[in-house]
Amino acid sequence: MSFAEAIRESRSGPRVRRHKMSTTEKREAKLGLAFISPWLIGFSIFYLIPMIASLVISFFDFDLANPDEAAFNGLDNWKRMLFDDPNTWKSLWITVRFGLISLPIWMASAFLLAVLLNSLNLVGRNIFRTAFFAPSLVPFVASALIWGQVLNSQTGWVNRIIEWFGIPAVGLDGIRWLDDPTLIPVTFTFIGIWGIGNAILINLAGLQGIPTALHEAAQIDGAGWWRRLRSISLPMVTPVIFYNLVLGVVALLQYFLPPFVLNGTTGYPEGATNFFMIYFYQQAFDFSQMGYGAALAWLLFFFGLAVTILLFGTQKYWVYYAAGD
Amino acid sequence: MRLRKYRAVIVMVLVFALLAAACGGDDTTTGDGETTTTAGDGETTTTAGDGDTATTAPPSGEAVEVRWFIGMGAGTDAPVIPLQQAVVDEFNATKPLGENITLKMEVVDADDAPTVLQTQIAGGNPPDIVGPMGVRSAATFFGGWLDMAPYIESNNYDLSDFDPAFVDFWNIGGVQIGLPFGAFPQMMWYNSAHFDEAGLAYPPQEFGAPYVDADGNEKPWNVDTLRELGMVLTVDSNGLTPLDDGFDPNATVQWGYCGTVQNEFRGLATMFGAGSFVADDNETFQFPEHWKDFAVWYHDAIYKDYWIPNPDFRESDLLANPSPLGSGNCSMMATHTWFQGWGTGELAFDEFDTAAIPAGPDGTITAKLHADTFGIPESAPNPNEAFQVVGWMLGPEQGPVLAGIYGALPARNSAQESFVADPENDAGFTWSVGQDALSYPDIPSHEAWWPAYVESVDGLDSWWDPLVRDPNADVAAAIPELEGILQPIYDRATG
Amino acid sequence: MATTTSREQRDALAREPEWKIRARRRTLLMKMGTTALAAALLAVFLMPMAYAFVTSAKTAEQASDPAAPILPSEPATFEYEGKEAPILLVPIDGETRELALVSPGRQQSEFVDPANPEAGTFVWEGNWRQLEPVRQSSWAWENYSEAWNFISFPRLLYWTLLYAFVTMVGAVGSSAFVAYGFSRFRFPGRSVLFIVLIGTIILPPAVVLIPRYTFFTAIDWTGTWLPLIVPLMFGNAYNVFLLRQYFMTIPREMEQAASVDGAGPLRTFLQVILPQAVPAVTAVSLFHFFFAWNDFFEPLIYLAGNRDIVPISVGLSFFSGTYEQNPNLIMAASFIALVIPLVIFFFSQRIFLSGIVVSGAEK
Repeated sequence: MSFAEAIRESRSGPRVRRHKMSTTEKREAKLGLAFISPWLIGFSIFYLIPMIASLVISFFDFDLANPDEAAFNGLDNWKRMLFDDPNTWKSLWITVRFGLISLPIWMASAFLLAVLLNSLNLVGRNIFRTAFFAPSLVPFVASALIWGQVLNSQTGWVNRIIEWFGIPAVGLDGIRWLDDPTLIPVTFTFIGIWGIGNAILINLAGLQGIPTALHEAAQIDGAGWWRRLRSISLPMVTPVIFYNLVLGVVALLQYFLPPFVLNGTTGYPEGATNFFMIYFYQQAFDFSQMGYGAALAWLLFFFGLAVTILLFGTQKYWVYYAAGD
Repeated sequence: MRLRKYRAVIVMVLVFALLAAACGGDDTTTGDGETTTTAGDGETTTTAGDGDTATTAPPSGEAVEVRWFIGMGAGTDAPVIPLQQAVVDEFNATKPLGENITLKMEVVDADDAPTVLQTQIAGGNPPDIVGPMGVRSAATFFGGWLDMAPYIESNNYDLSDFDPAFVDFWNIGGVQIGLPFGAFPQMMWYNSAHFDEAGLAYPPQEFGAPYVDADGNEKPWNVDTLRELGMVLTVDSNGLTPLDDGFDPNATVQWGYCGTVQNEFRGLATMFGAGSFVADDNETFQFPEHWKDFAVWYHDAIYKDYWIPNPDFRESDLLANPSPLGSGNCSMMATHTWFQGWGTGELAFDEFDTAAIPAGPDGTITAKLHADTFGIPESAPNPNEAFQVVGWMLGPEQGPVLAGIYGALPARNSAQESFVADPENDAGFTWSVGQDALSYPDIPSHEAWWPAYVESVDGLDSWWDPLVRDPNADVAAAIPELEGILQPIYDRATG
Repeated sequence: MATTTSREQRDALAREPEWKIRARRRTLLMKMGTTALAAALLAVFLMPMAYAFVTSAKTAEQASDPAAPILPSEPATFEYEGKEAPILLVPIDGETRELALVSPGRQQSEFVDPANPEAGTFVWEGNWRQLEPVRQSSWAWENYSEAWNFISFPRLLYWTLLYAFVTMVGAVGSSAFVAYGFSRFRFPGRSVLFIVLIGTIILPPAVVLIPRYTFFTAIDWTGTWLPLIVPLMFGNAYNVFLLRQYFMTIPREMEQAASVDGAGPLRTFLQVILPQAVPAVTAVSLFHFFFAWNDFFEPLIYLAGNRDIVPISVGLSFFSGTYEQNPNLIMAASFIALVIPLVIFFFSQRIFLSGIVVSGAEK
């Protein structure tokens, strides 16, 4: 089912009937609220006020170096951001385009690697799983250094290895992973694959949760490997795929560290690394314009919220929950 | 789950947040106007006003902990941390400013320090003292520094031991944001083993002296001679130089010259003469002619003559462990004495010395100057105590000690001779070269104030980075583009 | 696979029908193929870590040596008149000799024969850079002890473990409650609240940094671990979301049975659902543990300057000074820091992966 259909369907769906809650319903509601109360308390104290404050800041001219001179400037930040600043939309588009390229690749690799690591044919599974997870544990300070060196056009291992296959790669006429604007999405997609350990594990846990009886039954029915993967494994892990998808979208919208560490905030080369959060960081912290930065961050929030809500809306068409809603 | 429900959420969140914002008018001012919070917080110590406190007598008796933030310049390299701690311990042991004042230092690594400091200042938890820092770091917080002038007056702080020009250096936009602490003169550091191997004579140690080659012939010590030496000192893995046929630039293993440590345009270009991208009116863009020449010259040096490493090489393991000069793969580098502050004795080679900075194309010598200071944030909880501590740190006794820690020549005139003579400060290079360098400062400074400092620096980088990274860039053709980047930034800042 | 080859087994094999043998062969091939594929992928996947490992065992000198091979090694040297002279393979009169380079030059260099230093130096015509050096393997393991001592590793480890364990127990425990509430009970505004929960991670943390810092400063928590630990005691979106996804795959019949037995909702949760979800809870705990282990920015901000109580992730930044960097030490420290989470992972995967199989089969 296509996205558009999903939306149309949900709109034309039956109206939610308002009705008085019965006693059992009331009891259930009370219990539910009781269970989520820890979060409600924590949210009100530690998140809500800072979130509101940051939204309020977006209506201020707020210089981080001179916070006491902050002045209310109405909708100026928002107007500038939405109508006068081409970088807003350019950086959002760079982010979204990168997400459209890399997220499917990351999610597919995480799923396929999980299938591989779940295979009974794999000898030494525990060791393989640990090894594939290891890069996710490398501290950020170190991984920034590692990628800078490994991708260096002159001395990096990546180019040297490519040369083993007879392709000229080393040097300024070779492959410049971090300098060639057309390569930037490829480079950062590869860097991202390195850190999909968590996603692999979540998929793996999901795959392990599939009752073996299902597979056995299908095997007896003569279903091949591919068919079992498509008709049993994939649907059964949709809840975790959904989790990976939502978190993947959130993480991509806030994509920041790798380009920041490798190419800074100048957007080099040719603005190709001017992701939205990079632009936010430049405005809010480099230029100390937190008011404008806050407006940018909240724009990203509303955009992300809209996407997330859409994703949640599509759940019922493809995510399989054993416990129902 | 229905979409309808979620649409309502957006509206709800919006309405709720706006409502909260509207009703909580008073709340938000305390929430955002962090300094008010600070003042409230600071009731345990002193009340922080905007300078008027300077005239009031220092509070007596109440315990004050002065926080010293390190990370905006020198001071985060491993060898200097215990030395700084010793200064703090000394202060807390002797209590030179009275029993009630204690000192505490916070070290944050240089990469993260600006963000951390911004958070502390904007979050109502500013430190009392920030430093050492140069103009560039101070610029991130322009407008946010305490004017020390009233404190100098109220504390009768004696400035006669400083060169007035040096005191003025830190008066930016009418605000005295710091006192002179030390000067880091620039010198040409060279690897003498590389010169020996190439059979070249060393560069002169006296500013203005000619270069005398191995056969005794004299040449002016200028950027042309630098280039000549650089091309001989640059070697590929086969031992060929850029002057030989068959030289392979991708296989270069040793470079003649590696620029400066920060490697940013204005600092590099200063060797061709001091200059500024903004005219005297402080709002009109200008591109100094000699800097145009420099831009072309530098690009040619990297991509035509190959004697300066391209950025990819420079960032690679070949030149980054632990610094281009320290890697042993670079023959010359123009850098400041702070290079010494973290122990050049640990360099991977022990055969190095310092020489004069070569003259620019027109024959004038410019040795750019770094001069650090210690600043006090405007919202510092204990400005008066902070000023007294800074005064102590830069005083006749502690000043030279701190200078030695960071590799600076003390700013106090009375301290310089004994400082240079003190074997404690013998770092293996010739200090007299550095003292001479002080006579050739860059005026205006390569770090001088220009409109919208950080944005302008960023704009300049966004012009220069792609050029210096592109082997085929036509630098001469790109020169006019800079105006289109910087002038609008100036206009926004001044208009 | 049976590798023992007792006579009976072989006989049994021989008696097996042809198709069964073929099937076994195919299984063996599948195993080899799958494992080989995984190994090949892993090699590509771990290449950057291999680089990091090799670098971690090199001195700064070795790392910046342009002629160095991949594995850490250094030129063999010979001490001549107090100086270390590298030994090169020098072709002289049709034979290749190992000679020490005493004084390098562009056209000619002076060498000495380590076997016969009394004979003094002699001049060799040619470019020494074109000569092959004699190399010896040399791993700078001392980087590891240096890194260990430099950042006072045991102290960092103490704080890291404390942070990771305390928040793991607190955050996962509270999140389990919240996730159960979201996954099992209908109450008005449930989906709204869930989206708000997710919303807390959609808003970039950097924008709430200043307000949060202001808040924690106002209650005097900055400079301590409290701002990092306390908020996590109330559940966080990542953990709640993942646990909810798991809870929603557990059929409702479980609770219905328990409630027929007269168990209250709290008891049902603790005695029926949680045991069911041990694998999931373990997985989430692990994720949280690893997250806390490498959490960098928040500890940096809230513990700023107090170098005595920072975790390992922040401690690693001590290696990068203003004017120099020590990549080899950073790599060495990172590998030391990697050991504990990797070991935990290796042993705990049995619990949370095999556990799920059991729960699935019971359905």
